[in-house]
Amino acid sequence: MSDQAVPALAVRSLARRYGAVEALRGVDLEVRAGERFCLLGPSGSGKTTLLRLVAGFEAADAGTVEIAGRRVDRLPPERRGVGVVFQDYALFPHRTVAENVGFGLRMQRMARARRVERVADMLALVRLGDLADRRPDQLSGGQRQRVALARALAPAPALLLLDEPLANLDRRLRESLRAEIVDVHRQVGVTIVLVTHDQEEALSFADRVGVLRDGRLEQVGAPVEVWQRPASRFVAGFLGEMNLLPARPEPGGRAFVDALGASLPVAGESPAGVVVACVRPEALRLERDGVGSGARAGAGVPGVVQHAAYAGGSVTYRVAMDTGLQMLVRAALPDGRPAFAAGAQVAVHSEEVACRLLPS
Amino acid sequence: MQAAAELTPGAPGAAAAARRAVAGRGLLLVAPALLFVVVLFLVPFLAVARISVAGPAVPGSRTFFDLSVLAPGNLPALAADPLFRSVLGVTLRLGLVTTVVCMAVAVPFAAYVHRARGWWKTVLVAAIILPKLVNLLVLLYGVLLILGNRGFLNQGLQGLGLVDRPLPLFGNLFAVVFTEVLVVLPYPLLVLLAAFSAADARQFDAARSLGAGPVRAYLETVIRPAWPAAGGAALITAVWGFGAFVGPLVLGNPPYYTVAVEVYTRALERLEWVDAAGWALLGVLAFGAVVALPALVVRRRRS
Repeated sequence: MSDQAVPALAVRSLARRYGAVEALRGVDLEVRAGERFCLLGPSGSGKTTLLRLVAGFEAADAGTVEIAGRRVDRLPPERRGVGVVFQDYALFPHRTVAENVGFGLRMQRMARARRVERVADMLALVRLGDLADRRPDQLSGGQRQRVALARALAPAPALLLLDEPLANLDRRLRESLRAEIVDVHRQVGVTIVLVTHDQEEALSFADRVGVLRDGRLEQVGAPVEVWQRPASRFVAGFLGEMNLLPARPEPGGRAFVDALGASLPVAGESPAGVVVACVRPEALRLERDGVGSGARAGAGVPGVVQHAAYAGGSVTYRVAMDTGLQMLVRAALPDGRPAFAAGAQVAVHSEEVACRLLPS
Repeated sequence: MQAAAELTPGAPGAAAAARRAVAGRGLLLVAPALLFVVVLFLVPFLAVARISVAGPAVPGSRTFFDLSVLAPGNLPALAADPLFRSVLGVTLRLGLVTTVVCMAVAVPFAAYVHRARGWWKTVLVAAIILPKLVNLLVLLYGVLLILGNRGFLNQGLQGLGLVDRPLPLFGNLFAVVFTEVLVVLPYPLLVLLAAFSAADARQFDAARSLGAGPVRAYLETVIRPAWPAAGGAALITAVWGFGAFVGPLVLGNPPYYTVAVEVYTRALERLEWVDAAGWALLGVLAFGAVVALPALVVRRRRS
């Protein structure tokens, strides 16, 4: 339906400063029509500022914002056609669920009969039809956020912005509501930009992820891409636990990693200069120290387990290496118990684990 | 919850005991206020009620009333007294007009202060509170300096040649309402300001993104949720308005004397304590009825 060539959102050189703090330092970003885009970053990275500039709640110091090909950066929020869902719901407390959802339609001066119909449709979409006459304080957190979603979608916005919408909910509710938002997205087809600091949420929700750090976009790509091929140490570390180990490139597409005492094959390019090797904890293997004699004896590096973080299906060991470095090693536990406890003498094995090299 | 209940079979009884303990401690919290109300309001009020139906002073006695007599007829007689009725009417009208004017001034002004930022906001809040630090009489004579026949206002108007003789700016309803508003305004202002400050800025943003302009969004997310507080502010204003005393005495003249002024003259100038107590009692009952009426209507509508 929407023209694929025109991005739903195009942000160019967007900058915003609060006193001495540069919240955004010239961000360029295009979000494709109909996609679920996720802005991921730690607090203070500028992701909420970016969202507020797109919504028009604040003015940018420099740069432009286009929504569906239309310049909007000089327009007030009410003329941008952007729906927003906030972390703390921001429902109107003195209005019923139906009145909340109908508010945007009343602002559009939609005729009453059509409005009632549209509100009913929106409430059905988020499965809250039977709560239309309740007030927000009579709803649970998850229900409130679904009302907020229905309210933002009712005026049929060109773009839907979700500002940490699940952060106030407990884990199980968060996952079910996230799945529900994906369902709603499939039915409505609106372009969604989700802001979050939760990498798991970003990876599982988005078609593409943009990682923000200190007001700059560090990397934009599909979840698999940013996970497997992080563009920087920061992205590698922020997207999940990662061992970043000093390395020396060797001829033949290999790199020698001192901490592992091994030469590993390199996936992707080798940047010039000093590099670190990225090795995911799940790529490494622990064995009891002294085991694995003979031909493979050289592959293990000794250390002591500092902590074993059991997580049901897996366990993550923090290992203090004899060299002083700390190493994370994750082992899948289809069943059974973690093989090592804190204090165990172990050897870290890394036979032919492919690594990525990043500038140090 | 369910698991906890299963683990502790005695929970309901224990919970009830805990609730009772908390309620007992709650009582402890209200004790100072309760003591205050009983000693400083309830006891004197009952004393006034008793005096209002006492007999007139016995000649040669050292009291202004005779408690050995019970004269319940005093109150119906007073209620039928045309002077009492007219003064009560003036007082109620003054209180209501003061309330309407105060709220009409306070809502927009509180909204302005709420939206102000930085040092200017500090100045505005100080401007609301500072007049309360000035003695009431000083404030009223200050008003006379402005509104009097040789006050700033009249001298200015005459100097500009706009009027030939001083306008009668005091000794009338305008002057009395003006002073009462001046005296009472800080209370509704502070109540409204607190209520507006409780507004959630995200709701304002949400309203904007849903198509509301800044004014509409402000009404929806700041003013509208503050309605209950505005009711409270109006109540405080009305209670002050009904109790108006010094303002009408200094800036009004006999047609604008209130119940409080009449009680004062009867009790402390003419020493007619029985009469004064009757005025006070019926006045309080009438104000109570007027104030309770809207509250009852609101409650009826909610349920």
